[in-house]
Amino acid sequence: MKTLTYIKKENLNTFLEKLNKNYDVFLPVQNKADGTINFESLDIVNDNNVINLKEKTRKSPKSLFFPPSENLFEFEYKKDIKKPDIMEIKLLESEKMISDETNSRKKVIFGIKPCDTMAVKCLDLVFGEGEKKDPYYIMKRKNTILISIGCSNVFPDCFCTSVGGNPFYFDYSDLGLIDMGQNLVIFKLSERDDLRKLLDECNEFFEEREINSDEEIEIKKIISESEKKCSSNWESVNAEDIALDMERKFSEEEMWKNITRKCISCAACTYVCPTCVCFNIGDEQTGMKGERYKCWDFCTNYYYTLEASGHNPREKIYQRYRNKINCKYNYFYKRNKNLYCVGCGRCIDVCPVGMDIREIVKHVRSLQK
Amino acid sequence: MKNEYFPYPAVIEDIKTETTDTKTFRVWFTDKVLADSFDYQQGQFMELSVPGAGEAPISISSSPSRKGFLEFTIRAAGKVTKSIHMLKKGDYIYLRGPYGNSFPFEDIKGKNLYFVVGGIGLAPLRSLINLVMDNRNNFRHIKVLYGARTPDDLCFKDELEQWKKIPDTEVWLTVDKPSAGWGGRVGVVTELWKETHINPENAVSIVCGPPIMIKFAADKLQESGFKDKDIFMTLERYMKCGIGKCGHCNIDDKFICKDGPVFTYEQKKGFRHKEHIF
Repeated sequence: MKTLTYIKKENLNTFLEKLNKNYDVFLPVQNKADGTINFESLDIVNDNNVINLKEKTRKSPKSLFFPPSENLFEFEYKKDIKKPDIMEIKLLESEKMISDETNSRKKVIFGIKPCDTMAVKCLDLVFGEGEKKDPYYIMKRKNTILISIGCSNVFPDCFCTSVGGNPFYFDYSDLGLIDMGQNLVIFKLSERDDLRKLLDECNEFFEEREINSDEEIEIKKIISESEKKCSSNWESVNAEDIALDMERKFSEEEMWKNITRKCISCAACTYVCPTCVCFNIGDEQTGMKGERYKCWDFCTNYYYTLEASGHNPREKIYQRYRNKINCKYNYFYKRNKNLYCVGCGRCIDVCPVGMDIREIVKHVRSLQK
Repeated sequence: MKNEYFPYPAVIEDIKTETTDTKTFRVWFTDKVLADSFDYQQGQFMELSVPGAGEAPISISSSPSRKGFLEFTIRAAGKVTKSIHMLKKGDYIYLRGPYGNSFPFEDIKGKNLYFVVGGIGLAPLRSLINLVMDNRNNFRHIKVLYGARTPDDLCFKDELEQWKKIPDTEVWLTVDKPSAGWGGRVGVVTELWKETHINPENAVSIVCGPPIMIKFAADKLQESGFKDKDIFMTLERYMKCGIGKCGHCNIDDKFICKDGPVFTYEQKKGFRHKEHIF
């Protein structure tokens, strides 16, 4: 007989507070003043900032591992009075920033949607794989437990089912929950030791009993309805086919010009995208001290490819937008056999000129060639 | 864990002026352990930084066969390179790397080599040329065809003279605009085809220069019978991280910093992204 492990929603707040003692808990929090929902620390939750697990967050959770701007190290110029000709430079703090001590506190991201966990997988491939790794990302990522709640609430912009996911896709979640009204039911449990530890520490919140046939039917219904709703938002995309299609139609300059005409290179889509992680590196100095930082950048930016000689290989917006679409639906797939779009729909939601990535892809695919 | 973004100090041991806007910096690490273990390949680049100004990717212009120092030939073009030009002997510069792939060496032994070069493009090629010169018996005939805008834009003038004196080695120079006192050839580098025989048999060619020059040189080599896979070139893009993460330097699904900067003409032709001239 199958069992059902669940946590009562009325106990959720106490559970999260207990969790927050040993972990830094981040979860979707709605700012009542402006209505926006974003991943925030549980510490800021109060009367004006309330937990909202139903809606989609405006920004993706990527900034928890990849902050909009972060210092790589600091430096200081020093002059010795006895040797005034020589300017000494000291590079500071680099070791500390990526040390185990600084990053020892474990993180829990609670209520992360399945699409966003697929995005975290993408970021792991970018920063954590290959011969050379990004320690700033890895140190923030490695102690993080992802607790997902499946989406029984599918929005018109959602299209995860089209790009290989679904509203209850828990492959990259450490713990996957289904909202069944009164309770959050555990649907997926990973083998991670630290997750077991977490559950043991909080075992008073979890109840277990036999599942009845009504509940089984209900779970299946929730899942299939969400899937159905999501797949009606867009056709299903075969990754291999779409990558090939992008490849074949790359040189259709006129088509690309037409479909990207509206784009104003504002970067809003990149800002909210859970997988866009292009960055720039720069220095800032005040007086004798300064820091080298890494900050978000966007490929639809004219300056993104501008060389010191004045040569710009992607001078026109259509070339830059084409690169962006190819990055998501072709290049990343070629490198990692994984699409780089998870179907969260945030870019559609936020675009000031109403561009819709689904329409763009549809247009490319419909061109007969 | 190794912090790839953290640069190491090196001292500037010597500065040589190549042209009005280009200098060669000879530098070496101050940390003995790092200096002893450091190794690189011909054609690779490093990220050079002046804290406060930033960092820039620069090809290593010295040969890995000559130990105990690194040379970078830098044109003052942007913010960082201009800051580097203001440094003097004894100053510190910060380095990380080396990054990228390299020119073939073992695979081209026993062959005739054609170097077709434009302007400061000689910097990365000099690394391979000097490596070849230090292993001269392993190679057959060598021709260096080098073009620059003006006589002043020719880099490594002393070395060009030295290479000429090595048996079985020819150096052909040409400039677009002659200046007073220039008795040599005038015209773009492909004009040299009229004067010297280019034989693709048992030969490879290595090309570097501005994009337009690479295109014309590669096409000309092809006309002469070179196969696309025997034409090597080093490409450039605006780069930031050097390790294939930041996204800046992609051409199609390849990152110039990680999968390049050395590509064959065959690979280059396979890229979907064409520059207007390429």
